[in-house]
Amino acid sequence: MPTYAYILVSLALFFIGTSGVLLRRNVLIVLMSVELQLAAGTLALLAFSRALGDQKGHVFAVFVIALAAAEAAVGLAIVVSVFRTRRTANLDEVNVLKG
Amino acid sequence: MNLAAHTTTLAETIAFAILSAGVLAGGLMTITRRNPVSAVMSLVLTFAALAGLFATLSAHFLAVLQILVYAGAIMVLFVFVVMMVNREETTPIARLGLVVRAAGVLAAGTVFYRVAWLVARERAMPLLAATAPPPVVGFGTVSSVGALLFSDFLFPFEAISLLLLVAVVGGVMLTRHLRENRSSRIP
Amino acid sequence: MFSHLRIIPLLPLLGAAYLILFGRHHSRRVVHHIACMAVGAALVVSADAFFLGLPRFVGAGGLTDVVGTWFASGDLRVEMALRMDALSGLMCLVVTFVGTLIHVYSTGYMAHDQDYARFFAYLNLFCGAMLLLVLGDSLPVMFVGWEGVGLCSYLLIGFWYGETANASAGKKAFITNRVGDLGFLIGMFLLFRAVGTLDIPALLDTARAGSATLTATLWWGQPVAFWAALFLFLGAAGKSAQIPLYVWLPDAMAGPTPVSALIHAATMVTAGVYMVARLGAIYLLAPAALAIVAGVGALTALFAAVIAFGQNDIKKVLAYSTVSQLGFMFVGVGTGNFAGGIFHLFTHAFFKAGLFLCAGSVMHALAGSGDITRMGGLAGKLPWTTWVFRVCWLAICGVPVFSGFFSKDAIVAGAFATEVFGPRLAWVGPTVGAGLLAAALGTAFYMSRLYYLVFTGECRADPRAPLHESPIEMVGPLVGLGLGALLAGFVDLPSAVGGSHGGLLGRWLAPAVGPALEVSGGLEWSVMATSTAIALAGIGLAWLFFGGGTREPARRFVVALPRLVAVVRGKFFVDEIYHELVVRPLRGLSRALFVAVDRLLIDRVLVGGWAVLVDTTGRFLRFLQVGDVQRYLAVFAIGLAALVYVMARPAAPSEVKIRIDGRSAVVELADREAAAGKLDYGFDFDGDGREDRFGPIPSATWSYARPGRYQLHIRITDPQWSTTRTLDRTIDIR
Repeated sequence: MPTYAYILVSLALFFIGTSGVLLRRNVLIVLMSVELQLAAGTLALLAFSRALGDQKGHVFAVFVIALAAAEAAVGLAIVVSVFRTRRTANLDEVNVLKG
Repeated sequence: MNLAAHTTTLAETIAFAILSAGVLAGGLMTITRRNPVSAVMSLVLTFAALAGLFATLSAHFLAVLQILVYAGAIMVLFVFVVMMVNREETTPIARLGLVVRAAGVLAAGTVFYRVAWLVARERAMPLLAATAPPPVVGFGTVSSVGALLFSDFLFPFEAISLLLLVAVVGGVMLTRHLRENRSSRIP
Repeated sequence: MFSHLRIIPLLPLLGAAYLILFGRHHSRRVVHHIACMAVGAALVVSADAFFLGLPRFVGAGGLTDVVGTWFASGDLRVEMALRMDALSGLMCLVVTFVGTLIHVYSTGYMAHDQDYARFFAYLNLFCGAMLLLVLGDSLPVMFVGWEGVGLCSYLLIGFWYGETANASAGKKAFITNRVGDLGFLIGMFLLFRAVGTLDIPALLDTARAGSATLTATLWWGQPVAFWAALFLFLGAAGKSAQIPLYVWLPDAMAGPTPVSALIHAATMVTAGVYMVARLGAIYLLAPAALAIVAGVGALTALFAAVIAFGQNDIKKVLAYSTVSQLGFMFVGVGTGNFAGGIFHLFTHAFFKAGLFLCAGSVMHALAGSGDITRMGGLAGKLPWTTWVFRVCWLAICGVPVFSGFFSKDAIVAGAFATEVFGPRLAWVGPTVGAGLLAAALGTAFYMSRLYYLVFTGECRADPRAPLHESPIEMVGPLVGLGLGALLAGFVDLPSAVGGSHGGLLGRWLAPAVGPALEVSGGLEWSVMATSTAIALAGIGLAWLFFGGGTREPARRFVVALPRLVAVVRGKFFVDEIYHELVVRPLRGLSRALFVAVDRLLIDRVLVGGWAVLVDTTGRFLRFLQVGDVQRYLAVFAIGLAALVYVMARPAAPSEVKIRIDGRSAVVELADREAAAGKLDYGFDFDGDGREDRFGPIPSATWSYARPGRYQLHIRITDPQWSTTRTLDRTIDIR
């Protein structure tokens, strides 16, 4: 398939991920949406890497996956820690600032 | 730049269609499920389909990596935490500042629309029209990617391992039981 | 030329500065030594300049000292210059001599006061300012001194500011003066506009030459000189307590008696007279103004004398007496008899200051009381004071040989003999002369009343009062002034009496103020006889009413005409009238302004308004910072979208050329190079909403069927980004 097809899929997936980040209430779902965004980016990276015949894109993608893992781990640890004190995983309930 | 022309076979097209449908459907399901467990499962489906897409892109090493690390480790982590924090949402979409956030989604939508339009317009461009896998032997295999990792990209590789160490330490620090430590309280 | 002139005002000013800053830390001895030596030194330098320096420079207009240029702005150039000619030199001597005596007197009078240093500092400051006033060679410099003495008057009247009444009196003096100062300023402006300079010699020369600008008609058919003179006289009326601005002087008696003697008798109040004499040449160009000056002077002299009949405070009697005598002086200068007016200023300085210091002595003996109804019989107890008082009393009444006799007669004779008013106003001279004679009768009456009630008869005072003579530092200056009151008259004897020795002052002042008034021998003798008779009549009448204490005729008079007595005793209620007409409306207005401007406008709108604005903006902006990360990201996305939109728009063409050729229009767009060839265009020529020409070429042609005005709508699209820009132009087809 031509590269542009993959790019369009990547764009759509990224948009789906963004909507999830902006609209959902449960912090875990938000984190998952962030993973979607990262995955979309990885897809685009690999598509262009194939088009250019350059494997550096693959290396970069490896790093992206590692980063996603690290970020997910720490993010989930925070969620657990907050849950322990506040007994909630909803973003609008952990807001202390008076808006 | 190897942009050899290659007519896409029917099989390739069908495979791409099924796999992309899976990715997009999985993504949509992830963000629309009320039950976090269902969302996790949808995400796993998404990653599986995505791995398939990686394979069609001759990124074999990464396809496997995706399954092993993402679908395997990260999603398991998510499942654990979801089990711990399992509460079904009464209202999936937060009420707070909904207008602003919906406007943000729309704005993001316009941006993506424009980029998509641009891509679609310019699809005849060589970069965007390339279809054939490059003739380099072993493109996207473990050995070739690994060779790059341990030669040109050794330093980032090591740095990433350090990053993972940091993440591990952070995770442990953040989730320590408060009763156990008096000297280092987590605010 | 004589660069030491600046020392004369400088010494007292430096004394004042030093005493203000460091006077508190020195003992009283040091303080009064510094102050007295400052004025004393000024006296010495003045005398040296006057007697030794001046005769050599008389022809050149006197001694001058130019310190430097004060300021030059546009056409106006003002030098910081001093000039001593006969007139200003005489004034210098009067100020420094009387000033030194009063400084010495004050060392005794103020000996027990807390603010010793401050008093002497202010006294020095006053002397410095007064000297600057008389020595100033241009009107702005004189005005500096003018304002300076006004300030010192305020400071010294309200010296004991712990009492609200004293502070109010000070305020009243300053504010009333201010009204006069406005007149002075307007006079200055008029003169500058007419002559182009404010230097006194230049002004006088221009006036003497009959300047066209000064004699040009200004308002109401009167020349510029008239209006300038009139406004300047308003300033003089304020400073020298003439009608209608005299009301501050009686209140000024709230200050210490030395202050009353120096400032409100001998020097500051005479500044107005000095100013008129100084600018005499200008006044001579406007006889109508002179008539007003003389008229106001005569009226004030009579009016104040009548009020003095009913006053029961020794200083208040003397205050109204000063107002009255100043009226005499103004009649003098107002009839063109400048030498006569200055002569009376000279003698008055001695006897009036002497009278005030005697009053101080009496009050000192009575522990500060000035109520003459509780005095009497002090002649035996205060011998020195009594003798000096007698000398000054006879001088002011105009008894022959004493100084006041000669100076008053000079003025009265001058009023009858003057020709300065011209044919139409010739009646003014004799009228004011007659008025002055009446005022002289009044003067003799009230001063004699004062003498009899204070010094003769039984002592009605509180027996516990000290009732002893004053110390030497107070008596010494008294005697000095008394001698002056006795002898000062001999500087200007009428020629009928002194022959070739007469008229000294007149001749001496001639270079400065013009030739002295010629009075015939016959007129002089008749005036002298008349005024002597008047003086004796006044003294006799007072003896009848008050000899040895209030007597039967006085009591019967009060019983017979109670209303008249009440009005006179109430000072004709002038203060009360002013209060209703001026003070209360001003207070109301200022209160209204305060509420409207200060409370409403400034506090609520300008200050509070900003607070409200900040508060509202804060309240509004606060909603952006809610801590909701998702909202932040949404705003981020919106911003990004806006940015992308702006950057992806097709560039505007650098030029839109429209050529009209008959009924066809040719439109050409000159694009910037980057966008050339990649954009799509659409042209709607007839405004119907449909595009008549479109394509990738940035130009189009169209023929119109009918003439008229059409709206051309141009669309430029970037197909890559699918963004559009539109332009509108108007096409007129004839």
